[in-house]
Amino acid sequence: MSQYLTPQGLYYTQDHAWVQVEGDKIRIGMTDFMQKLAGEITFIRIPRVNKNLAAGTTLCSIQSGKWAGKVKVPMNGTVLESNSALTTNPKLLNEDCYGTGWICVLQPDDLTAALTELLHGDEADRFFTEEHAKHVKPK
Amino acid sequence: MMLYRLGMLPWQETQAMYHTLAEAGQEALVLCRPDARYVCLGFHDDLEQEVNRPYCSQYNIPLIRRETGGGMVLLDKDQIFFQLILHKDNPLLAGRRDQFFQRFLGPAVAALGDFGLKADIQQPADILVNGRKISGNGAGDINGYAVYIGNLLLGFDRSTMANIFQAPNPALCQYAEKSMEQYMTTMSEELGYIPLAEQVEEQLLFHFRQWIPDLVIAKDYSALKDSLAKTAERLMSAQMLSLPGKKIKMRNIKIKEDVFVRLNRYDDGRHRGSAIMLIEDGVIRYFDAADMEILQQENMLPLAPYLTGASWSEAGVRRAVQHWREAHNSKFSQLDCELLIQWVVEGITQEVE
Repeated sequence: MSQYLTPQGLYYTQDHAWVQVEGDKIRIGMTDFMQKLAGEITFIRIPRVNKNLAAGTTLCSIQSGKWAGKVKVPMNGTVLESNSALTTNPKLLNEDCYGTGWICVLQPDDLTAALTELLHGDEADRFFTEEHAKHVKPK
Repeated sequence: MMLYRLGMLPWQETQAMYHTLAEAGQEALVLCRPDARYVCLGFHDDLEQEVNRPYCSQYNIPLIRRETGGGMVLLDKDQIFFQLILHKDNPLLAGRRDQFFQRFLGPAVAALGDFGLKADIQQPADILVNGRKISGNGAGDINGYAVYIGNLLLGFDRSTMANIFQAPNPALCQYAEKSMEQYMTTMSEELGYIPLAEQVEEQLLFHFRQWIPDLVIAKDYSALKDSLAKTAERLMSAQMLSLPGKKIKMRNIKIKEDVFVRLNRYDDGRHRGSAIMLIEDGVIRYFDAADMEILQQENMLPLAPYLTGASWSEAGVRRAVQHWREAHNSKFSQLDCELLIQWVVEGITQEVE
């Protein structure tokens, strides 16, 4: 694993989704760490708009080589928008995972409460440092 | 870590097992084989695009979808499955997910060596003997567990596999079968006899133990039976089978890493047709445009000899088409060479959607 980006100001889940708060909504994507762990992503099954999702269930699945990975839903809510550009160009997940490679916009059921369950700031930094240590080189 | 050496199982349990263990939060190595043939879709395969469902119905070949990657495959009792379920934080998993195949496939490579078969890994995840694929593999994330699955082919029914491919042109299935003869092999074909499944399992297990010494034999898996039944039901459900998959504009059948057979469709508004191609390591090895009337006109030289051996790239195909065109002294101007190049490289013409 090479170095990875973890922008400040975002919230993170332990399975490597990022969450950006936009008013009373959230935008979700996968972390740089996860896209590097996955390698070249060739397909994504994006979430359906208007679908109600429970935290911890599958938000989307990705394919890289023969690996099928998943990103989990960070908090209960309803999908308002999905990034359809990813269906024709999944490489955006590798190239710009915090920008044009966003996955969906969610209307959370209870944003304030849900944010307390996510990693943020120093806590997120510590988590990613530990994650990196686990994957830095094969043992 | 638990070891489930299960021998022959009801076919659906050979897929349900590793899903169930991951969902139950149990790290394990599973060795098993199915008691009947079935078709298993990869997590992101599109059912309608990949599978000839009428054929499967006619011959009572059931369908199931797994939550791991890799493509649609025919599985049967002549294949030995090895499945490793590791928690995502297990230190064995360090590194990129696709790079872990190198380690996961090590015991299978060594087991083949025990039978005198020199095997190599073709990255990311094929095992080759004498340059031909002898094992299929995939991996995925299930409930926070990394699951790696593989098989060793004792035998393989290429004819049935070819018939299972959904294809708009039967010639594509025939050529896919021929390509599987060329690029795939089995232990029985390499050895000249059918090895005992138990012996192959024994060697697999021996080499897995060299890598993972703390395997504890599970004496019984009956406690999992209810969960297995529920998992199998879910994996075989209409909802699971019809999950949206990766759509491609032209039919493309992967035979092994870097080898695929494809059907290119041509439509310039006046003429229609198709071609079957085999691409190996980025080189066109076979080209057959038998139903392209525009290429079958009197006195027209066949295009295939010009394309065969050409790089499957715009530059390579352009060179080949230009040589072909020069051989005709530009006699056939009605054929748009740019469209022809696009068709060979991209598999479609713009008019086809």
